[in-house]
Amino acid sequence: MKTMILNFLSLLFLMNILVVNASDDKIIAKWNFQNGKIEESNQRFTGKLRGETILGKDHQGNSALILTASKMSDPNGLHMSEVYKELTPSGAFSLEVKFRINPKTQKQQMVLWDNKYIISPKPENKDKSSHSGFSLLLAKRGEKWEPRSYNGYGNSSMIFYGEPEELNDGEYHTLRLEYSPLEIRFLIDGELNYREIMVTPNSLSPAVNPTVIGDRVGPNYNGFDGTIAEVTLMERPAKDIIISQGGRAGFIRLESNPEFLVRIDNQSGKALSDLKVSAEIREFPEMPLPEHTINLEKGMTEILKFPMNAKLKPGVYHFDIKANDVTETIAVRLAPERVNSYPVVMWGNGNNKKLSDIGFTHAINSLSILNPDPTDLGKTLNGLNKIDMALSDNIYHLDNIYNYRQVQSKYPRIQRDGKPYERLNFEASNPEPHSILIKDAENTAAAYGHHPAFVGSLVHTEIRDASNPSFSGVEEKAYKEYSGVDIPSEVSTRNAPSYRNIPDFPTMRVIPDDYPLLKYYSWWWRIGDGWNPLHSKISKALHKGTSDKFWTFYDPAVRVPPQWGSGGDVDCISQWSYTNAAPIKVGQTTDEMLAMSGGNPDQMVMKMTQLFWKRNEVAPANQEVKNPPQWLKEYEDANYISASPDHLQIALWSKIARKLDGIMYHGYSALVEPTGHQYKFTNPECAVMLKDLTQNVIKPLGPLLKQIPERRPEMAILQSFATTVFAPENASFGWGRTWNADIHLALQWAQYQPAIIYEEHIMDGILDQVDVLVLPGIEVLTESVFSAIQKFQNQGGIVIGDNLLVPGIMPDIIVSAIHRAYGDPLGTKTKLQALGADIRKQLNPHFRSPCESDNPDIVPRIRTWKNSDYLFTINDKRTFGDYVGQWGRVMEKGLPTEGEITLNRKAGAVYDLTSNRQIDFKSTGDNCIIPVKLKAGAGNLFLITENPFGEMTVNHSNQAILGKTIKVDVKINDDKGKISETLVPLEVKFLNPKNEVMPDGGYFCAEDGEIKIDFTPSLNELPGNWQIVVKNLADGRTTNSKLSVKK
Amino acid sequence: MNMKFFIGVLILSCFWQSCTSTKADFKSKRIAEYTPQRIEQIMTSSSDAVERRTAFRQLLNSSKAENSAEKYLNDDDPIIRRSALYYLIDHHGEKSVDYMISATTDSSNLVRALALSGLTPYSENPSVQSAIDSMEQKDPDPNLRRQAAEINWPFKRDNKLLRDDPSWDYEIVTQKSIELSDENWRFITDPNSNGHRQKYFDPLFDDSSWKPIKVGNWETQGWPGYDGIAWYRIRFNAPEKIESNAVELLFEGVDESGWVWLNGVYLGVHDIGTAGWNVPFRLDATKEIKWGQENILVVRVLDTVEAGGIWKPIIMEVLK
Repeated sequence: MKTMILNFLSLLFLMNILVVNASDDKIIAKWNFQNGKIEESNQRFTGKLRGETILGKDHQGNSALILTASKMSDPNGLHMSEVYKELTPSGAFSLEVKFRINPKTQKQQMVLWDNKYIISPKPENKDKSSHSGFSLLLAKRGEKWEPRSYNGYGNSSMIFYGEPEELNDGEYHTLRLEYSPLEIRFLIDGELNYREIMVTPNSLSPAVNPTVIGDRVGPNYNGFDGTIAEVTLMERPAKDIIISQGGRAGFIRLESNPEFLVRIDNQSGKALSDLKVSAEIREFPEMPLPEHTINLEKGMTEILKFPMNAKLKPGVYHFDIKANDVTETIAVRLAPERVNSYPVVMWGNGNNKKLSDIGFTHAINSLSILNPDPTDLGKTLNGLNKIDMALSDNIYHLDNIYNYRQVQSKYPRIQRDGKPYERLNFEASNPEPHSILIKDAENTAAAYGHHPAFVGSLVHTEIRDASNPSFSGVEEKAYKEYSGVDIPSEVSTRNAPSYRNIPDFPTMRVIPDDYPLLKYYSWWWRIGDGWNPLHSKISKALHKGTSDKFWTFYDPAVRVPPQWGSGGDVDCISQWSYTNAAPIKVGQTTDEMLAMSGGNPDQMVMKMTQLFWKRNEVAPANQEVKNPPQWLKEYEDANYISASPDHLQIALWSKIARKLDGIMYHGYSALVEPTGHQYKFTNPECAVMLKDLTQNVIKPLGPLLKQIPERRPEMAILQSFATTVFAPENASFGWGRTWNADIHLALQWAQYQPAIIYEEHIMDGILDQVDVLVLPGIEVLTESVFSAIQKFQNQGGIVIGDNLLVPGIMPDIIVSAIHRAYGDPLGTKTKLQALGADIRKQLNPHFRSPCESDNPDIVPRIRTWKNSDYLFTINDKRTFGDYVGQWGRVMEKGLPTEGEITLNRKAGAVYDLTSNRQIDFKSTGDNCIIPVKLKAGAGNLFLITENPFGEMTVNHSNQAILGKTIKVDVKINDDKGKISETLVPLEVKFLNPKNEVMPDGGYFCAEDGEIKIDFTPSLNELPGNWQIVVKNLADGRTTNSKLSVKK
Repeated sequence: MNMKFFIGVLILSCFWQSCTSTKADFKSKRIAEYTPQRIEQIMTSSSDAVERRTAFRQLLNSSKAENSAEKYLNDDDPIIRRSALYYLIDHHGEKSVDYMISATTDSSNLVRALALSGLTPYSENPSVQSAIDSMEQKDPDPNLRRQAAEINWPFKRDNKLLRDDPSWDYEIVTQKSIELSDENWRFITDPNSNGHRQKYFDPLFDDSSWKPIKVGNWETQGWPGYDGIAWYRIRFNAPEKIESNAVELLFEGVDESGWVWLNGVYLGVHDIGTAGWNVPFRLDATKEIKWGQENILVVRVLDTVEAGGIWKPIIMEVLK
């Protein structure tokens, strides 16, 4: 459940770049109401106050125009006596309004300036009077106000939207609209709020209405509610040559051969020949830049390339560009490069600075929705600007392609009766529209693919959820070609009939592998409905023109039956989960993702958590409670509220305990700040928690987390495609709500770590590695899988089954299905923990798992590299708190706990990787016992090695030259002097003579005790004596070495 | 430390010593313990269920399978009894009918369930039909009673609710709730369970001879002490079409099982045995509802103990 948030938030990065040169500006009109006059300063423009508008005293006792909330039928504001053509400047201009909004205003929209009147005429309206003049207003967006300008161009009108900002604080603010035929900008309180570039120069068409300050010209009136102190309209002189940014202004350090593009527009009214354009980087003038000589016809534009040096130190650099006698300064930012960081993705977007501060590394913001055309400079530049903006806060950009809905009305899925399905859905199997979709993807890649901070794209989300077999002819033909037979007559929807309702269904529920309905649904889900092949095509198209590191992804990838191939050939699959009712369920749903990727071992896997809960599941509005929580006062009608911090924390540890390529979150407004979105910001502690974990766990240990392999699946839970098709009651579809998921929780609480496997894994031979196979709700199997399970048992494997299991499989341990009671999370947890304990009791004489705990609330999970184990421990001790606990549906509050984890292995040393120290442990026989003490909702990560770490050495040449790369070789030995065959987390710092931390450092993972790191001191850094500081994040020991750096 | 535990620890210690060579170690060493001599010993004297089942599996894979299957049909462990019965069904088909009929009265519902499944293909055999009928009437497990009944029940329907749709990830809001009238119901008892053959569910069926009844148990409305099947019919007008994602009928209380038709189309069943008398249930009627028209709702009710009937309101919910 994700809705795109299309607000592109503040671009602080560019604010110090696009310096407005106001020295040549000339005042056209100025109203200084603070002087106690309504007359324009130069007496050129006269007007009268309308309605209840007065010249009075503001909250500070100063004179100002006082406007009150008015009805749409009542005119207000200062109305000019006549139509002054000067009040619609023909060239570049600025309009600045100093205003104060009534903090209690209920208004949703307020006009500051208007002479356009018909602010947003329909495109078919060709009446020129509807397309003249301009207006400036503020529109409410949640708790913020969005500046807007509506401009008339004679035959058409355009709307420009700024970024919403908080202006409701009862203080004065200034909104400045800067307009030139090439671009439009909003500045609030002097800071750039929004900038948009127009590829075709446009001048405004003179207004045909008198100008009004503080209201609309005519009905429906929309008066300002507050006070206006000053209004200034200024003309900006036209230039013969306009120099502006012609490409991205964001660069990443050490990217190869970057170029800065400069746009030259000839506005002189004549052809320019031998125009010399030169440039210099102000902060690094020693770098030679080429001089271009061009001929430019009048009105024409040329894009020129200047090299950018990516070996400079990170920061803002100013290009001083000169063309004839015109000079312009454009700044670019060189961002520090990322070294092997662990992606933390916000599925959505918002304030990049705030996201970055919490620890997010990526955000999704659709650029493909702009219908990018690499030949359309305006659209491309605006898209690149958005990437630049995000990069300035160290957020990398991911696109979201969702143009499928645009074609679904033309290519809908068709029911058996020939009519489109009521829940309209795109017939992805139809090849006809593919070329359009592929072209859009290629254009997106071509327009933005060169930007190093444009790193990935979501190829599709959620639309497939409503996919159903389509009977337009395409799928019938394709299935006939595939199978040689027609689609079975029983097929009408995505769901097969229940086996109970199929006449002659094999009574022992073991079906032939080519059972017709099974064969059809297997085909349909894998390729037949067209989505997976289309994903592959879109992914391929996006890879044209993007870097090798660019990744495509698809979610929700397991909202399908358990069969490999979801997402097609996308580089990464993902899926979101809610943390209620039990947050370790996120571990279970993550295991489903790993199972799905089993068919494509090169595919990356990420896992998303919803930052919010559905209100009716945790705190139903129709149920009154004693001691209602604080948030209820402000958000009584909320449908979605923030999840609890402890749930999110447990879920996060559950995710990173698995080998993932990154994690994702959705629900910006439930985590970061209220925006007016339906996901309400009801728990500010969530962001505090997440920031703490990203800073102290994910960032330092991220490279290690990405590298530690999963263990072989000693225990596995089968999710069966055949059962999902014919008895879907217990099928997961990625939700983790069913018995199949709950037994996974029971096993986690019993200190097992079951993998999830599919039938394809079994046919691939995975049972050779499995010791215990769990078959919850497996009502139907194919003959070959049935035989494989029998063989597994005959070879000594242990099966845990329930009363639904196909009767031909004799379970070694039989359990009763526990049906989750959503109103009783404590009762359900107690029952499932008891079940887990009972399974362990029955299994222990026959099978020993790698670890055991005396505390079922401590959930362990182990990943292993050679002889080193990485033990994650997660504190799942929870109770009902005062956030939503009053409703009794979620135990949302964590409690501290402690216990001992017994590992079936000998250990030489145990390290706590979150506190960077060696810890004490006990040895008994072949076991090692680790004491664990965890705060509420917390987790921990221990490294268990055969031998303690010994010496760490750092080797490199003693000397380096600015701008030249050297290798730094780090080796970690064990206490016997041998290289430690372990994955070791390290922190590496490069310090300049001022002890400032330089780029290229960060966090690393030394594989088998060794890593070689490239270090390039920046060209414009200080030469002298530098230091290289390496810290072993396992034992906390540090090594310092010196480096002499010369120019 | 017993021997098996010791061996387990040994195996695991080998595993940790040499991680890559462990895949088959655990299982092959485990199964190697089940020698023919030890299997007999385990089957006779072990109290460890996992051990006995493993041993029995080995027996079924041996030359002694046939005898073992028959021998252990009466084992104390229902899993072993079921596996023994399965072996006989699998190997002898219809010839194992007597074993299956006998198993319909087994103390374990797992065994009875297998027997019922095994008998289904032979339901035309009178003795089989009799056993199925007996299960329909008397089986202590309501699920098995229902499954037995469904063998002869001609109406099938997978009724899926919006809230159970795995593709639906939105809050479900009830846009409108329309409570059906407590009155205006027509009612008839069906002691021989023939109503469905007489098409009581058909909208065109003439129910004028049926008796009026209100929502509430039938015992207090003229049918005291009646246990068995009865039918309800009501006509109600649906509003003009409301844009929605689903329409559901919420039955707040039917004592104790109910089969439902709307406008002649079978919607589904609520049948969880006697416990169902006070358990609300919902059925999707999105495709069957006739907006702005008269609709005919028909409910077949089974009551086996004490009071019976539709005794709480039925609500049409329009969901967005």
